Parts: sequence; structure tokens; C-alpha cells
Amino acid sequence: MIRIENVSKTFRLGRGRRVTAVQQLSLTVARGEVYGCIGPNGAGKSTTIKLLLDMIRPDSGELSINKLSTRDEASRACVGYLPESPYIYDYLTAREYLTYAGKLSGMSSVAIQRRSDELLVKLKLDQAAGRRISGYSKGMQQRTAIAAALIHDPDLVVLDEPMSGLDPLGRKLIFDLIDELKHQGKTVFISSHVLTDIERLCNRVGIIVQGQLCYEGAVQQLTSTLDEMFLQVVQQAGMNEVH
Amino acid sequence: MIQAIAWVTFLEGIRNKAVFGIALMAGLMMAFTVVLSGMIPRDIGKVATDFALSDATFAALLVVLFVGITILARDMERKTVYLALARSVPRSRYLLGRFCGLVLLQTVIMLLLLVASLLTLLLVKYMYPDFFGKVSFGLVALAHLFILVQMSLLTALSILFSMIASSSFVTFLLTTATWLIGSSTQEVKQLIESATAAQVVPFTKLLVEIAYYLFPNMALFDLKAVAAHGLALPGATFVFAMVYGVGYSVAVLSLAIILFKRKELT
Amino acid sequence: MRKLTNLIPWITGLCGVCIYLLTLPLSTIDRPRHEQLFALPPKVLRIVSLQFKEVAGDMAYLNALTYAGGLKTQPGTDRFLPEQYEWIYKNLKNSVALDSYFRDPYYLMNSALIWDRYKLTEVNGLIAKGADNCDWDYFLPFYVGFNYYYFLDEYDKSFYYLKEASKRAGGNPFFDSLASRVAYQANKTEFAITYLEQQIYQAEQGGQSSSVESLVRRLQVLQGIRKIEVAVDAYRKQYSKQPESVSVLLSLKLLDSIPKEPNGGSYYLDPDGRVHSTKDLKDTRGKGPVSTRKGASP
Repeated sequence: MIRIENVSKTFRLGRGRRVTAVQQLSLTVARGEVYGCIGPNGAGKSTTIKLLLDMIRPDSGELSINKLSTRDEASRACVGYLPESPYIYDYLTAREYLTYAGKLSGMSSVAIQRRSDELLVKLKLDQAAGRRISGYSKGMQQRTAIAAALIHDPDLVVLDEPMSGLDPLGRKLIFDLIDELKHQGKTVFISSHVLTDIERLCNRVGIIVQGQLCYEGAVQQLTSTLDEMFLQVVQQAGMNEVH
Repeated sequence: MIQAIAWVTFLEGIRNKAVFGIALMAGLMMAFTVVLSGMIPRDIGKVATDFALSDATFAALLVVLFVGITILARDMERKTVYLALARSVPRSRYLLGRFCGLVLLQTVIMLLLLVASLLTLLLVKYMYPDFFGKVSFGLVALAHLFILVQMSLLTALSILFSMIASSSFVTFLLTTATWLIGSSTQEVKQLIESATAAQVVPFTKLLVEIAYYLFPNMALFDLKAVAAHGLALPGATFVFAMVYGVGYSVAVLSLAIILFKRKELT
Repeated sequence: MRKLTNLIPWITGLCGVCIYLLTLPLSTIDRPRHEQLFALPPKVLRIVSLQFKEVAGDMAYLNALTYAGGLKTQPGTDRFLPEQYEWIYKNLKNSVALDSYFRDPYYLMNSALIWDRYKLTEVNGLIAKGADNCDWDYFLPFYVGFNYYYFLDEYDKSFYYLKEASKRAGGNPFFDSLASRVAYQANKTEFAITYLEQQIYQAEQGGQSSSVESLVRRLQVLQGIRKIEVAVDAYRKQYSKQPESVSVLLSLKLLDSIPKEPNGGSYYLDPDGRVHSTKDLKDTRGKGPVSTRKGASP
């Protein structure tokens, strides 16, 4: 489903300083897999996701989704993306927002209506669906964004910190949702700091440190807890800054 | 797809409190026009038309500078562009949708301003029927159309500048500067041409020529004098202004799309 | 205690409002004259006003109008200072430079500047341009024509404009009669008397009582001058020389009484035998305004 081959990206900050965000990264995610991507802050997880979505272009290497190059916008037709902090038009109501998202993905009004009703109920937003998002709590905004990411029934779901801002009730909701996606055979790519969730949900896990993939393996084959694994890998990678 | 983007852009504009403030300001200025007309002995209609059309121009300009640019800037700052671009929406179509939405917003506001202008002028005509002069209501409406085309062109320019500017304030400055220069190039060019050759340094002359052709000639869209005095507007002038406005906008948007396609959205 | 401290913003706010209201009458004192007397050159103003030329023109006109009106209501000034005339002139010039079809500035030029003989050639030239531009208005060429004859001695131009006025008015016998008087170079005072009688009639029709008053006074001055002129002509016919003074005419019974000058001055004869009022202007050739006699109240 996802294929990342030898991708490198360096950012040029002001005054000639350069930051290498991603270095010769190679990664594959098979169809139907739930892949967990973890790493310290500033490791390059978000950069990798942005490269995947063609928001930024790699200096070298190639990325493809479903055998289509990321330069082709058709590669994103089956992708549902949840960004790190909810990017929301707060002057719209949840329903208008979902309608907009659906229309952007080329859905018909009938399909949009059906799916939004379904998702609003599932994410417990049906009461507030008529109010403007500016009045929502952070958790409600996050759930609205997730609904928008799923409205077009994507085959690949990319979630960047899906649990952030949610209270325990919200987290249970999302957890069950991801589980459901897993059983539906969808491919899920999660980037998160909550290692216990990664352990429980994912098939495989990859640890990225300083722009490089330092460890990759099946969750079931972990010798210790993911926590300990993570700290070990980071130490080996010789990280000297805590971002 | 473009429709959905345009509609959402339009909603963002209409639901913005600034639009309400601008509308209120325009209404007050129109009311003031009626009061001011009473001070003029003879050409009351002309003065009322001058003020009504100037109010409309100013209000439309404020919408472009403070609502349009805010919408574009917020999109980039809050990364709400991701909503569309992370799906299979081509970048060119996204930008066109944005432009159409902003033009739709301008159109609606222009219609409201037209109604306000016509009401103001009708009131003045009712109060001072003998001194209304040769104001042409048809030309007043046409003047509003020209303002709309002008502001659509300015919107396209603001989109272009938002692609290259590092902050929304820079976009605001660039757009304002372009409007200021564009409004005066025709006058300055005529001034330079009428001055004797000895008075003007050739370098200045060249600079003025370049500025005249590079910057959009906003004076082309200024029909205030024509409407206020009921002068004749040749069809050729009308067609030329429309073609110029549309053509320049298309060129600017094309350039903006090219830049947007290459832009990195960190 | 807390309740009292909550009241402090209210109290200070109220004090602020009271202070503002008390000082409000003081803020409407006229600014010193020299502060007001600055106007941009027309070409610069055209560029600087961008797409708002017409409203800038309207504002320039209103500036001149309110300024002239304000000066006229101040007691004790027969005439304005030269820089005050200049400011009015500059503003009206700017107004027509920004919109040459705006008629009111031309009218104000005529009423505020021409009769006070300020820059007659330039001002009448501007009004003439206005008359040319506003080809539907017949009063402007009429004023231009009158001014050319009475103030500037340009008979050809005068005739042309008076005929033009008549044409635009669809054939007006009054304008025609004035044009014919120009043609045979009739006596200027009589010419002006006819003109003023028409003006007064117009003003009365239009209900402009303040203009009527000043026009009537002007008419009375000229009627007095005319009466003495007739006597001077009779003297010349009889004695083949200029009379020495007005009192001579009175003693020879050519004049039954010395007419009363409505502004409080008196009539006298100049070396060429022409009649003037001491309160009138220097001469009929537009040499410029008399300096204001400040502090001299009538």
C-alpha cells in the first residue's frame, strides 16, 4: 500500500542553517496492515507523513501509495488524513464541514448525508452537529476531524496523534474505531506517542530517530515492552538533543 | 469540486464580523451623503453620486484587503489547506475555487452596495428634484460593475502575493501598494507626457512607462465622473476595460497557480 | 469597601465626559487664519486623490464655500486679506481641476472673487473654461460675457459669450439686449444696472434673501453713480470741460441732490471725469483689492 524508498529531505532555515529531517528512509506498509510509527519529537514522523501526502517534496527518493506516485493527486483519492492539531474551519458546523470534506472527495450528496449521519452518531457528535465548530471543545473538534478523514471510506487512513486532546471516553471511542477499521481490512498508519495503544492496535511498528528508521518489526515479536524497546533504540542511535 | 471550495470560502467571508462592520460603515457614509448634499447649491446630484460611488469603492477595497487576505492567510497559517490537498484535489483547482469564492463574496457585497447607492440617490433626487442634474442611474450601476471587476483583479493579485509573501501583513502591504500605484499611473503618465521635455529626466520617463504597463491600470475602472454627469460611455471603452480586467486576472492567477504547485507546505 | 472601589471607573468616566462637554464650545473657536491657508497644487492633488478625485474636488469646493461664508459673517471686514482670497481661489481652482464639469465652483468664483476684483483675468478665464465645458448651462457664459465687458474691456469675447448664453437659453431677449449693448459699447454703468436688476429678480424668485440684500446695495451704488454721470455729461456738453467736483454739479443745479451712498461712503470724480464711490474699488480696470481697513467699523 505504502512504499517509501530512500527518501531524504533537508530543510533550509534562515541564515544558511540546514536541518536534515529525513535521511535515506525506506519503509513499506502492506495492504490491511496497521502500522505504528513512533519516535522522539522532531524525529521526522510528521515530515514523513507530509512527504507522503505531497505537501512537501523529497530531495531524493520516491514515495507511492497504492502503486501511484505521490506526485499524482489520484494517489490520495483513497487516503483519509488526520493531522496533528485539528485543522478546522471553525465558522462551519460539523455537518457543513463533513459535507465539504465529502464534496472534496467527489461524493454525492446522498452518500454524504448517509455517511455523515453514521459517523456523527458513532463519534457522539450528533447532538452538536448543527452548532458552529468554534463552540466545540478540543475533544469534539478532534472527533470532527476524524469523521472528516473517514467520510469517504478511504482504504488508507493516516492518523497523526489521533488521541491528542481526548479525554478517556474519547480515547475509548477512537480506539474502538481503529479496531473496527482493522477488522474491515483497511490499512492504517498511526503516528503516536501513546505506546500502549500502539502495542495493542498495531501489527508492525517502526521507530524513527533523527530522520532514520532505526528499528522495524512485528509487535508480536517484541522481546520487551515497547517502552523499553523505544528507549534502547534511542540510546543506540546516540541522540544528543531532547526536542 | 470548485463549487464546494468556492462556497466554503464565501461562507467564511460572510460569517466574518468584519464584513458586518464594513457594511455598517458603508451605510453610515451613504446616510452622511444625503446630509452633505444639502450644503451644495446646484450640482447636488453630482456630489451625491461622487460620494456614493466613492463609498462603494472604499468598502469594496476594505473587503479585499481585510477579509480576502485574512481568509487566505488563515488558510495557510492554520493549515486548513490540508483538508483539500490531502485528498485528490489538484492544487490548481483549489486556488481557482478560492478565487471564485472570494469573487462571489465581492459580488454579493457589491449588490448590497448598489442597492444602498441607488436608495441614497433616489432619496436625494426626491429631496432636490430640480438640482439632481444629469446623473445616470444606468451608469451608476455600470460603475458598480466596474468596481467589482477591479476588486476581482485586486483579489487575484492578493492571491499571487500570498504565494510569495512570508506573512499576511506583507501580502497586505503588497496588495495595497499595487492598488495605490495602479490608481495613479495613468495620471502620472499624462502629467509626464504633457510636461516639456527639458523638465523631465529621461530615466523618470522610462520608469513611469514601465510602471504604467506593469501595474494594473485601476483608473480604467473608475466611472465616477461619467456616471455623475451622465456622459456617454463608448462601447469600445466598456469592452476594453472588461477584457483588460479579465485578461490581467487570468494572467495573474495562472502565475499564482504555477507558484502554488511548487510551494512547500510545511 | 469593594463595592466602592468598583465605582471608581464609573466616576472617572463621568468626570471625563463632563470635562469633554465643558470644553466642547471652546473647540469650535476658529483656528488662527494662517494655519488654514495651505492648498496643494492641482496636478499633485489629482495624483494624490487616486480614484477619489471627484470627492476631493467636492471637498475643496466646500472648503472654499464655508471659508468664504465664514469670513463674510465676521463683522468689521469690508474685504478679505490677499492670502484669504488666494486660498479661496486655489481651492476653487483645485475643485475644477479635479472635475471640470462641476458648476458650483465657477459660480462661487464669480460671486466671491470677481466683484472683489481678485485676479480678474485668471478667474474669468477659468469661468470661461467652465462655460465651454458645461454646454448646457446658460448662466456661466452670461457671467463670463458680463465680466469681460464690465471688468476687462474685452468686447469681442464679451459679445461672443453673451450670444452663446442666449443661444443656450433658447433665445433669451435679455441676454440679446446685453449683447447688443456690448456691440455699440454702451455706457458700462447702465449695462451693469440692467444686469443687476435681472440678478435681483432671479434672487428674489429663488428666495435667497441674503444675496438680494447685497445685490440691492450694489445696485443702489451704481444708480447713484449713474445719476451723477448724467449730470457730468450735461456739464461737459455745456462747458466743454470736466467738472471739478460733485458739489459743482449740485450748485449748477445739474444735480438736484447728492445721492446717498448705501455703504456710508461718498461719491467723487476722478481726474478723467469718471464717478466713483469712496467705498468702491480702485478703478474699473481690476488693479486689485483695496487693503482691508482692519478695526474700522462702519
